[in-house]
Amino acid sequence: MATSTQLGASEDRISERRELTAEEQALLDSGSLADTAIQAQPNAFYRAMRHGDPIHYDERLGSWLVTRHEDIAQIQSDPVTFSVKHGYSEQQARGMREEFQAYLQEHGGGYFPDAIMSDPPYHTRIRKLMEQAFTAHRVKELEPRITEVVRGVIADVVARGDGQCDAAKDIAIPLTIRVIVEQLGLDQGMEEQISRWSVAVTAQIGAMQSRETMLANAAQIAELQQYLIAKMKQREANPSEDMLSDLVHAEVTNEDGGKEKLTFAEAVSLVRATLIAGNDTTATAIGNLFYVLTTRPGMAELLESVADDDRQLNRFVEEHLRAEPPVRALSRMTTREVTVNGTTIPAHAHMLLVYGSGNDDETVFPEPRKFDLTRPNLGRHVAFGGGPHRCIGLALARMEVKVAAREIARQMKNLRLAIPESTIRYTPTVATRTIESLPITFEAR
Amino acid sequence: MTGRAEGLSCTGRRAGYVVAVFPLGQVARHGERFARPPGCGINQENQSRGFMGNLHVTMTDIDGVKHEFPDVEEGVSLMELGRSRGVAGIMGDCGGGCACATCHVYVAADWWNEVGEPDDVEFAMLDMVADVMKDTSRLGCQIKMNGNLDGLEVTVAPASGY
Ligand code: HEM
Ligand code: FES
Repeated sequence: MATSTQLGASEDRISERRELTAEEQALLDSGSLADTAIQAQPNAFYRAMRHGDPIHYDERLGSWLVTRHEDIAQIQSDPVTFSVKHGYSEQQARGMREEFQAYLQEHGGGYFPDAIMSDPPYHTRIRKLMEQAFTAHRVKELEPRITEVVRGVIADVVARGDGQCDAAKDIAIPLTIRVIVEQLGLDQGMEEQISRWSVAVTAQIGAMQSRETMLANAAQIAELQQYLIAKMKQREANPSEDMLSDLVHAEVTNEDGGKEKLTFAEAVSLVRATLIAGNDTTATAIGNLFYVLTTRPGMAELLESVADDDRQLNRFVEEHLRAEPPVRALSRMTTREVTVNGTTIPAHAHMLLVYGSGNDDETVFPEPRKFDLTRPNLGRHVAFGGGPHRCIGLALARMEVKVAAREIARQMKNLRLAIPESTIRYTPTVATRTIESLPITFEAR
Repeated sequence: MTGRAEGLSCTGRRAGYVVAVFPLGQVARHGERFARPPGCGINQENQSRGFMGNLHVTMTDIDGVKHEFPDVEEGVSLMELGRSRGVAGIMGDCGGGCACATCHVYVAADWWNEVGEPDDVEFAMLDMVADVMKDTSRLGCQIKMNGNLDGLEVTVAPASGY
């Protein structure tokens, strides 16, 4: 058995390459993660890469795709060779970064690089600041309140009485926004706007923007920043009991032990990250839950059977995140030439850690397409990444998905997709696998 | 030194800060079993913690190497200790949040009663690495050193399996 510490040390480890079928070979040769059809149904492409060319150069994207679980873990454990800072800024507004930055300078109150999308040792200090806000125990204390929010959102939809809704737009998205807005201390009732802003921010790492959409998104981000800046100025003058105030007044400890206040730009970037990082992702997880409940035989019954059993429900949620990971692939950039699993990657190369493929790796999760609550190594999935950049909001995300699952089981039954499955549209992006709209029908329980 | 003194300038506004960080209304108390540092939710630890005390911990890492630490400070968690001293297998990805299980240890049988059982939240996390979980499993970040644990012996659990 290998662990990430051991893995980090070896550059000569090589996994078995398998003989591909003609079909798999064709997919490997002509496929790209930039292809929206592959983005929507990626698992065959992932498998071809894992078996034939596990660290595959995607020419259309200009990125190295890392697809095996073991290789992903190795790369995550070395945040200096594989830089998030450079990977992320390379990916941001791909090919149009200067124009993007200039736009925000002019219209968005400034360009605020993401403080959390950084490398050690700076990253370590910023991260420590955020970590304690999201511990599993703190989130457990929030369970009653989260339940109240989720129950309310679903009850409102059920109370409309027509037995139909858009599970993504009417439930998943407003629900996650309400929770995070309450934590930060932002204004309620802005779900629609915040949802638009989230989409615009996440599009920056999606590698799929035209100049036109980039500018439209930049305008949204400018609006978001203006809103946050005004709120934060307010809290700077009059602190209140919320995370927004904490971040405005936060200090980090430097290497020499001295304390330094976060700059306003850093604080804005952290508020923006907290608002956005947890929105789209968690909403996607809940949207995916409705998707599997309406399309996979037996899933609704399975959920019903575990909804009142905390341990089984936790396992259900974890297996759901493994089987349908919201985050597909995130960026790294090499800071030197390096060999991983037999493939030599040059310095300053852009890479994508394909978490969606890691979760489907049959060497870690046998029969990966099977939904199996009894997997003994559930916690090994990489839906939340791993290593020093592992998701900060993971406990909160798990809780939101769990409470949503429980409330769906309690308030709704006979969930059905209201459109043909083949017409479901996924957001065009390499970063997440997100269902944009999911019309369903249901009966009230 | 308290967490508050090390923490952010969120100090002094109110005690029982948990409510303040997540102003989501009612906060359910789950008993004192949850050892939670005081201070604000957004926090930072002093990186030099763990080097100035006199408590003794023996930690065997995933390669079987036995580490003796005779200078551990009260209040330091086994995760903080292992991570700051480079003990192989202690990653502490979530920073002590009881949410990643990369700080999993087996407590020596003699010490189990003193260390005690995991609470529900910790058990739920251990359940995610059931393949390497044992009767004496705990998450290192949830074990904070104190005088009663002077001499504690633990073995770092291997990573959950392939
Ligand atoms: C199901 C929901 C979620 C999923 C699938 C998810 C996934 C991820 C992943 C894969 C990463 C790793 C980034 C990398 O490798 O570069 C990450 C990082 C992060 N996530 Fe999440 N996330 C979710 C919810 C949340 C929530 C609710 C929050 C905040 C409240 C959040 C905040 C963050 C932050 C701040 C980071 C950056 C951490 C760092 O780079 O040190 N996420 N998330
Ligand atoms: S450090 Fe994550 S569970 Fe202990």
